[in-house]
Parts: sequence; C-alpha cells; structure tokens
Amino acid sequence: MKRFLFLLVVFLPAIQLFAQKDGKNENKFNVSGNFQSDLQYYFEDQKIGAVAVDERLLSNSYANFMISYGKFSAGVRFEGYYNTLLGFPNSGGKNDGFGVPSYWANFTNDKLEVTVGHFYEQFGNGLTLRSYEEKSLGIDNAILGARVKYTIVPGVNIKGLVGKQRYYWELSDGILRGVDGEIQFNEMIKSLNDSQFRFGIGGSFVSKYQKEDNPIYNLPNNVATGAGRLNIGYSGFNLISEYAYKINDPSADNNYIYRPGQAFLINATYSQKGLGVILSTKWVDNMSLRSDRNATLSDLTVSYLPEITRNYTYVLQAFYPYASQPMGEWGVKGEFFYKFKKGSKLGGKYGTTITLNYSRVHNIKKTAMNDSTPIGTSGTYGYNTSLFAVGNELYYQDINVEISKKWSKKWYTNIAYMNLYYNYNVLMGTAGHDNVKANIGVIEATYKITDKYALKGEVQAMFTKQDKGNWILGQIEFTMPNWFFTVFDNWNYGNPDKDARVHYFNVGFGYVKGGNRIQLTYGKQREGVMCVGGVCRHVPASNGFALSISSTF
Amino acid sequence: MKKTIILTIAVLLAGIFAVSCDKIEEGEYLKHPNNSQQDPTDTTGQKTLFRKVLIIDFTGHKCGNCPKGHKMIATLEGTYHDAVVPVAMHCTSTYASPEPGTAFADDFRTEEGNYLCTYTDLEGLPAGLVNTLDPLSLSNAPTEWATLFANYVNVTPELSIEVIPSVANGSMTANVKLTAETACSRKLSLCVYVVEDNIIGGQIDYESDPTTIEDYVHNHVFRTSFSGALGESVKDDTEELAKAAIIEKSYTKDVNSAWNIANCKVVVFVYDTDTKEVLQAEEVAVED
Repeated sequence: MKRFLFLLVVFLPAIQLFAQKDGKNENKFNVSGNFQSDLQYYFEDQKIGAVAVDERLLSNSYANFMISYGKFSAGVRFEGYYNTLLGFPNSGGKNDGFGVPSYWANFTNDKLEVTVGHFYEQFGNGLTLRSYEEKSLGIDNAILGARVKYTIVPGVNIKGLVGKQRYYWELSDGILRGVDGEIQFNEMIKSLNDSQFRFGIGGSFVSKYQKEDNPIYNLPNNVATGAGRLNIGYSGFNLISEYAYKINDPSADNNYIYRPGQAFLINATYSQKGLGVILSTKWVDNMSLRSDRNATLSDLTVSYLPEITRNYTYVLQAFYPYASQPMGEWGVKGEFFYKFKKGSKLGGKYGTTITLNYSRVHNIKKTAMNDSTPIGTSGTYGYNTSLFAVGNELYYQDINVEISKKWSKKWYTNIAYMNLYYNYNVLMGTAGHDNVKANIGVIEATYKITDKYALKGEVQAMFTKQDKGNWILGQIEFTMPNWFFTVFDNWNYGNPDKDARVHYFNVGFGYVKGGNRIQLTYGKQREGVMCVGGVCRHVPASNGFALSISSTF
Repeated sequence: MKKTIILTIAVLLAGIFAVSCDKIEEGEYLKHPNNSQQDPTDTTGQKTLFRKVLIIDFTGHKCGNCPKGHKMIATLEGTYHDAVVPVAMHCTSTYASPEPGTAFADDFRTEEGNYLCTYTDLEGLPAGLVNTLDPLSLSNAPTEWATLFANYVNVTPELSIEVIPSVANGSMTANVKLTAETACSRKLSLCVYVVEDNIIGGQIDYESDPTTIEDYVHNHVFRTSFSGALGESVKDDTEELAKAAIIEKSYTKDVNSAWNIANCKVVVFVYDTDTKEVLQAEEVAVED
C-alpha cells in the first residue's frame, strides 16, 4: 500500500504537468486500462476428488492502469488473491493477498526506448530469456529493473537490461543482466528494402548472479547463457534458426550437475495463397535457466523452450498436452494446410480447408560418465551426450487431420481425427502407469439462424484403453447479440472403475458488450493438466460456480 | 562518429557480460570431497549441546524424483551425522497410494501426513520443510535443503530435549523433558513422532536403471504422532521461562503390529508456536 501511495505521489503531479502541456501542443493525454476478476465457489465432491475450501469462495483479480502522453507512458498493476484459486501457483500461501506487484515508466522515440520498473522481454525465440505473463497458468516472471532499446540505423537494433524477476510479491535472489542485438539486412541496406530475399542475424547474452550458499557443492555465482540466430526468407519461404549454449548451472532442475546446456531449433515455413507448410525441429539438453537455482515448477523461469507440438483447442484433443522437457528432448513437427478453391470439386461453393499435422518427441541419448556413477548424480558432470543424439524413448506423438468446410451461408462444419501417444510417466512425473494411446474424433457444426443468431453443436470422443478409459463430450452453444449460452457434458463412460464413470456437466452464460464481459458457469471440472506454450500446470478437480468479469477501458 | 561510439559501447558491454560467468572445473564440484569439514557433533569425548535440525521430507514411493530428497538427507547425515533429524512423510494419492500385489503394496500414508500435505498446500513432490513448520518455507528443491540446513549449524539451541521411550504390553510410552538453555519468552509447541527405518519396498527412482527398485530401503518413514500432526502447545504465553526451567510431558500410544519396533525411533521437536521455527529436535531409538 505504501508503494501505491508513492506511485500516486509520483504520478499525480505528472498528470497535471501533462495536462498543462496538452493545451500547448498536439500531444494527447490518454488513460487506459483493463480489469479482470475470476471467482469460484467450491463444493466438495468426493466422487471426482474435488475438495471444498475453508473460504468457500476464492478469487483472483487483476487491474492494469496506463497513462500516456506523447513519448511518455507509465503504468501500474494491481492484483488481489483472496485467496488464490485452486490450481494456481501459491507455494503454501505466498500468492495470497492484495498489492501492487508491477509499476513502470517508459520513454519512446524513433530510436530510443527506455523502461524503468517492471517489464516483459524476449530475446530471439526465448532460449536465453523470456519474461512474460500467462495468467491462465499463474505465470508472471516480470523483471524489475531497467531496459534500454536503441536503433543504431534502421534494421540494426540493440537492447540491454538489468533487473530481478518477480517472485509472487517479492523478488528473486538472482540478478539478471542481458544484451541482445539484431541486424535485419533488408531494412539496413536500402537496395534490399524491396527484395524478395530476406536475411537477418541476431545474438543474445544473459548472465545471472546468485550468491553461492551451499555447504556441500561449489556453485557458480555467475551463470551465463548465449545464443545466435539466423533468419532467411525468400518470397513465401522463411527459415528461423537459433542455437543456445549455457555454462555450468547446477540447479534443482538438473539435480546439481555441472555439464553445460545446449538447445537448437529450426522452424521453416512456406506459404502462398491457400497453402501453408511448417516444418520444425528442436533438440534440447539441460537448458533450464532460472533466476534462482533452487526454484522449481513454474517459478522464476528465464529461458523458454518453444513448444514443438500443436496447441489444441478442443477439450479432448487437449486432454493429454505435451510439456517441454528442458532436461532433454528432441522433437519434430510437420504441418500442412491447404484450401481447396471455391468452385472446385472438393472446394464447393465456399471452399474447403484441410489441415494435417504430425509431431513426435523423444528423449535425448545420454550415457553415464562411468560404471559407478548413475546418470544425473548430484555433484558430478552428470552424463555425456552429443548434439542431435536422439534416445529411444518416445515422449509424445500426434497425428491430426482436420477438415473445415462452409456448406452454405448458414452451415459450417469442422471435423477432426487425432491419433495420440502420450508418455504418461515422463510427462506426469510418475512411473508404473501405462502410457496412453488414444484415438480422438471431433465433429463441430454451426448453424447461422440469422445474421445475429447462431447455434453451434459439438461432439468429441476419445477412445483409449489406458488411464481413465473412454470419454465422450457433447456441447451446444447459442449466441445472440451480446449474449451467449453454453451447456456441455464430458462423460467418462469408459472408466475401468465403474464408480468413476462420472458426468462432468457444465452450464453457463455470458454477456459481452464493448470491452466488458461477464460470464457465470456452474459445473464440474475434471482433474487434469493445462498447458500453454509448452508450459503446464496441474488443474485440480472442482465442483462449483465460477464467475468471471473483465473490462477494458 | 556517434555510431562508432555506440557500437564500441555495445561491444564493451557484451565483453563485460561475456566474462560474467564462473566455470567450476571438474574435481572441484564438492566443497568437502571426503566429508573433511569439521563435524558439528564431534564432542571429542565431552558431551556438549548442539543444534539438531529437523527435515520433514514429503515423499512417495511412486514419485521418481523423490529419491533425490532421500539422497540429500543421506548426504547431510554423512556430513552432519546426529545433527540431522529426518522424517519421511509419504503422501498424495498420485505418488504414495499402494498397488496391491506389487512391490508397492505398502501404504505409508497416515492421517497426520495427509493433514500436513494439505496444511502446506503441497504442489509437487519432493518437498521439504527444514527446521520449520511454516508452509511458506516449503522447498521443492532437495539441493536447497543443504543450504537451509547450513543456517542452523553451529547455532546454540535455546532448549534441549531428553526423551526416554519404552514399550510394554502393546503400548509405547515417550517421556519427554524440555530444558531451557537460555531464558525463553516464546510460545512453545511440542511434537512427538514415531518413525521407522529399514522398511523394504518398492520405489521409483528416475536416476536408477531400471527406474523401478523393488527392494528399496525406506528410512525415517513417519508412522504416527503422539500429539497430532502439529503437536500440542506446552507454553501458550510469552511469560519468560527461566534458564534451566523444565517442562515434562509423557505420552502413550498403542503399538501397531505392522511396525518393527526394533527399527523404530521416537522423534521429538519443539517449535515456536508463532514463527513455526523448530528450536530443537531429538531422535532416540525405541529399543537400545
């Protein structure tokens, strides 16, 4: 609260100053912001493992306020957790409470950008540094410090930062220092400005300082990671690649081993009207960097490993999501998109789109240092491996076909089939569990009753002999101006335990107008895993009412 | 000129960052390769008081990362000997439920363990509380336990604990005597647990090959508490407890036939009711 009062004292005179200036020049003074509050009332439901909470009602709330005037802007963020919703990171109550976790001020002109306070940043693809917010996972690793970006000449950009990461309401032990530089030759060289050939290079370097404090191990106070990247493009073809290297970084993630880390990724895309192709591969070894060597779960991540698998939106397709494995993984993904032309045999009157994708992820090949030291033993080099060495253990595989078609002005359908292999033991951190092989089908149909009223129906089914067996899901959604109503049931009809063949029934409605949205639902949520961008969180089972209010202004 | 200066500064900055890393050479990873540092429990023939440190290790036999916690405790025991007082609290249905007919048939979970699991808002295993019952101090990194442990080494305890366990007629008794080593104005709570060593059973260990070990030796397995998961208050005011003042308690509980008494120990610890800091711990075998 003291911090907030301090901000008011700082900002209020500034607002008055801006207002005076406003009358004298063209600059405009703007205030904007947004607000979101998610509340849930919990009932105990022993059948699905849902617990009631002592508070009965839990809530997560966020609000951002931003002022800008010409080249200056500043912002402040409020958050309140009374108390934190189940399933969000809380570490025994560290997240509960209300306060001002973020505040910032920024100056930007054509060449220079200076930010002090909290900021988010990403170097390249994020292999060396990605500070970001993903509230659905409870992730907010904003950096508190200073950042400068400068454009030396068009196409040549450098940026540097120093700061500490946010850790709930406090800051991490470690201090981050980072620089990133990039040259886009097509922007830098005038004669290449309109060329179909595109070429860019970049590099980044991040160093973390954390005092060594362990009575058993000699730990590095400073850990550094660096990366180089190359982007090439010609017409509809683009290739993005990056290689990162990290010096010895004994941490909770790697069980205090001393080998360096490496990561390499390539993403090639081709697109033209009605056609798209994506080919990607990734190889990662011991590449987790956090601003606290003892941080775990989703806390204080500095490096980020982009997902190699597709993010699915249908519930049953996203049932077993893949989480990136920073201690070692090799993956490949291919995606093909084609739109049959309108008027063609397969395209029909409105065209037909087909999407195919395949991804496969393995462990990497590791060998022990010697016969008497198991792989990954604390206080050792850890193991041996070599770049691109692939292991035999399959972590994840999916094959997906999706066809979407508009049949008439009123009818639209989307059908999908997915075949999945999910290494339950590795990805859920357990053992002795059967790995999941599943076939999943989806049929979605939308009927536009009028221009403003639409009805959407959806049937999804998953067939598997492992884990909790077969599921079927049906959903109906009705939308009209400003309102939407939805009802769905997700039934675990094939659970080997007959008593656990539960209906996860949900009903809800919402009102949307302008930047405001309010939604109320009641229902049961199964225990599961939710992932965004290769990062996952455990979602506990729940039964209750959920109210969500959001507003942008 | 301006651009040259900026580029020079950028290169210099990059150079400064480039040296901002410390490489530890092979062979120098361990501070005391042969446990060569001074043993805090080395009394050279004369019994002196030293701080003993409680580690509650939340674990599970189907948790493949949990042996990291067991190994860290073993490492600390190898270094700090009797100053380590571990308790292995098996919990969660995912990682500690029994699998009948397999090496994982034992159910090491207990009512008190389940309570502490909820009390600490446990988000993942392994997790440890080092000399505290404050949920905010829960650490999911066994490697950090050593750092937390080191905070208490060579710290003189405010209280000493004497415990005399005995077994007779199917009942176990623990007579506990707390002595104030300095004047103490804290509110105090006392916990008295029973743990068991050398239980052979299944354990998943991602660091072993194969990862399933059917004859794993489970140590420090929490069996029961004489006084509930969080113990009982033995001093509920901030009145000063004079130096050398004594608090005595006696507890009795039925022995469970599944326990091997020869491998059981009584673990006693006293903690500050407000701050939850454990002030002293003690561990004594039930049978000599």
